[in-house]
Amino acid sequence: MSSDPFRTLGLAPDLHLDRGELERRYVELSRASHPDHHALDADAARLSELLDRSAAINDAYRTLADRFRRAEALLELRAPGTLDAHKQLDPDFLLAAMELAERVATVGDAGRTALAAEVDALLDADFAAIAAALDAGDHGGAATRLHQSRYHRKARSDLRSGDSR
Amino acid sequence: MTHPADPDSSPRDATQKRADEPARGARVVLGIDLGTTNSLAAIVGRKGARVLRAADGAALVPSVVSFDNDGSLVVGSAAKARALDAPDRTVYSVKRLIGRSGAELRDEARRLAYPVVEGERGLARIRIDDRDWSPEEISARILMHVRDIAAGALGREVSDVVVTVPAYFDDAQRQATRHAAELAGLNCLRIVNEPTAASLAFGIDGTRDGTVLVYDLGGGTFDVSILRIADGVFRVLATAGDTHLGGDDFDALIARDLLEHLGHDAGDVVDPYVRQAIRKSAEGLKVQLSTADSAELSVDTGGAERRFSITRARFEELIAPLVERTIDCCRSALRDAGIATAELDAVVLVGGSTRIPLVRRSVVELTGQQPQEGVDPDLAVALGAAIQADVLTGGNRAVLLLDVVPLSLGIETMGGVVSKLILRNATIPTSVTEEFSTQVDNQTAVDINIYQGERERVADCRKLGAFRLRGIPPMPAGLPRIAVTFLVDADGVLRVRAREQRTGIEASIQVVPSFGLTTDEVNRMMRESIEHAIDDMHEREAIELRNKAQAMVRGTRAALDLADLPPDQTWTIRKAAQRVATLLAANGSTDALRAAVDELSKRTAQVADDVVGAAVRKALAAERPAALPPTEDAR
Ligand SMILES: Nc1ncnc2c1ncn2[C@@H]1O[C@H](COP(=O)(O)OP(=O)(O)O)[C@@H](O)[C@H]1O
Ligand SMILES: [Mg+2]
Repeated sequence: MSSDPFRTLGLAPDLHLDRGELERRYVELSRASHPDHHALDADAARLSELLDRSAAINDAYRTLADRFRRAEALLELRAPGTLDAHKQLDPDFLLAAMELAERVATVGDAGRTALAAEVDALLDADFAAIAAALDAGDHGGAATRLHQSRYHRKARSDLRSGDSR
Repeated sequence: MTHPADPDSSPRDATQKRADEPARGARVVLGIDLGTTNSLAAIVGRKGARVLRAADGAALVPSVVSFDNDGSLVVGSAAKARALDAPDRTVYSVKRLIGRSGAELRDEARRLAYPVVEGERGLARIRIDDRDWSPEEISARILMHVRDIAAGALGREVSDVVVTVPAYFDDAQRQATRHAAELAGLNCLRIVNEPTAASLAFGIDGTRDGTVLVYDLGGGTFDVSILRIADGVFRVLATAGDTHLGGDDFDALIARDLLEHLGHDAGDVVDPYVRQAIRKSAEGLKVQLSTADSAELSVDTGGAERRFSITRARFEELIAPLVERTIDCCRSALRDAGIATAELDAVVLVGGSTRIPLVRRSVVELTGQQPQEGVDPDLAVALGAAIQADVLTGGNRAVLLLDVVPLSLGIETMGGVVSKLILRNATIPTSVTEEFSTQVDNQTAVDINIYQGERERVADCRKLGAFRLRGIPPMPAGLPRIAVTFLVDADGVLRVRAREQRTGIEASIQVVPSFGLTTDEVNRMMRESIEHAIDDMHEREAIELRNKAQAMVRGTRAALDLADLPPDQTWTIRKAAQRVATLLAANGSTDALRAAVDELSKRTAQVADDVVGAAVRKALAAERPAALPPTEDAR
């Protein structure tokens, strides 16, 4: 991500930001720049600017509302390029991730809730480790764990789309 | 749920402020619900949103356009009245065709009574005599008719509108709707999603804060949206739907049963007259079954009379799979929104097909709660569009609508895979910038294919169009860095921009839509529509005449009640008025109506003085005691 979502929303870069404050800032800024509120009083150039600004606000909110994407944004801010530099993951981890994906793909209705809880626990552990690494200034460690967490996030979302019936 | 810190921004405060606000400027913006079956317009006046009705009091305008043999056309109830007599020249449910290709519509077209052909680039066209009409042009006619009715009700011209579309309309269908407005000579300030509009109508009073599910099942489309309403902010959390599922499909299922009963296969019926009659009968049976346990019909099959009866149970059995599909959509929207059914504070039903008991039951079963009363399923969308129009014109700053893009957008990458740039349910406006480069030395143009849909492979998504990036400065392969920005605007429509990063050159983009009109085509159709402006003038005159006729009938009757005319005079005037009323009800030819109106004016003119004189005398007589001066003091 090239721009800084914290700055877009006027918030201090903090992994543990206050959700209420995030919502408040988001609505306040949206009210100010949403094209709907300027449909008649702005010219084409200004409208296009407002459109970009609104899009930036929406995109920043979406990033910051998700704890993992928030951590990614924070890491990019503190140590640009670290995320890209740590894409290589441990083969043992990849093997475990593949097994997990397999279990998600084949789980029946009976086991789904238990598996979801298991994945949730993995995600919580990931987040705790990322937060600790960021606190300790271990940017490489945070980056690696963020990459790992993507597999768990994918598993979680696959489980969710599976429970439609 | 959180609230903005500033109490001034709550809608209730705003309403209070509004009462003492100076009179608003002259800008009038209509909210138009352009439905598959019915369309209508609404506006926000001093006392809130209200529907604009035709002179006869009808709110719903049938979304039907019928062509006469002489090339002229009628729209609305007059067109619907011609459906049985001129089935192959009467176009209905055109919204099901808009923004789609002929190939996609092959099955659909077989059911329609009017001819659908494949035109340029395989797009669906409606063939009337030797002229092919795009769905956009037909929709434009409907919009113009609705505009004229609104203008009649308001007593002034209007050209600014907000038009609604199903939330699940993709980019092509939205663009096509925009083009329809353009062809109608309207300035479309915003495209609003129908369920979102309905939620505005529901939640505008500020007492409905919470999480709401809006279920909208009309004639041709189904939408479900999950929204959170808080302090004037209407935030769509997720939306899902099916742009080819609605009451029309239920009619088709009954029609199949009916044809089977008569010993036919639905596929064999080619005669448009029969198709139209069957369709109409099927719809009639369906509507009866919303309140009755069974419905019956007698069919005259050339001499022999055959009876067909259908029970509600059979009807429910027929439509159950379709209703189940809507419920699946609800589940997936809830899942995408991260909302459990127990967290829903309200369920709002919109669209004529939500009057079907099985539909209501299924929604109640899913959500565990009764739908909200007090939301008119026919009017809510138009009222909401009017509220949004009011927001756009600055009449209501307290409301903020945050809608989403219904389907993911992406581009084709290696191996026929779609790489998603914008994910479904992202709040709009939203943008993503991607960098592209060249594959060969000195390449000055790049082709990019845009897709919309949830599946991985291009073959399973809808291709919105392709664009060519030109004007890339000649450089070794891989060196140019072209940043392409995909921006979905507040209408949910994709805009693409590109820029070569090293040179700062704005690369030019020419998008060729797969399913819609090109700019040149829109311009050509605009020109053609000017040629048709003469017809439009006739149509406008017809509307004015009807309005005048209506007023005269009412006025004459009221005057006759007051006046003391000799019986024979009363009788001739009553007869003339009755003739006008009959012609109005029959929606017949304009010329006949004009003659009758002239006749009535003549009759009343002869006795106008008498009528007025008598009426005034009578009215004065009634007033006399109060009008008398108190005593003789004045002498
Ligand atoms: N009482 C009823 N019972 C069943 N279906 C109905 C009833 N009233 C209207 N409909 C159906 O509702 C559909 C039209 O709904 P509407 O919301 O006006 O549609 P649209 O939004 O597509 O224009 C038609 O298919 C019509 O047959
Ligand atoms: Mg509708």
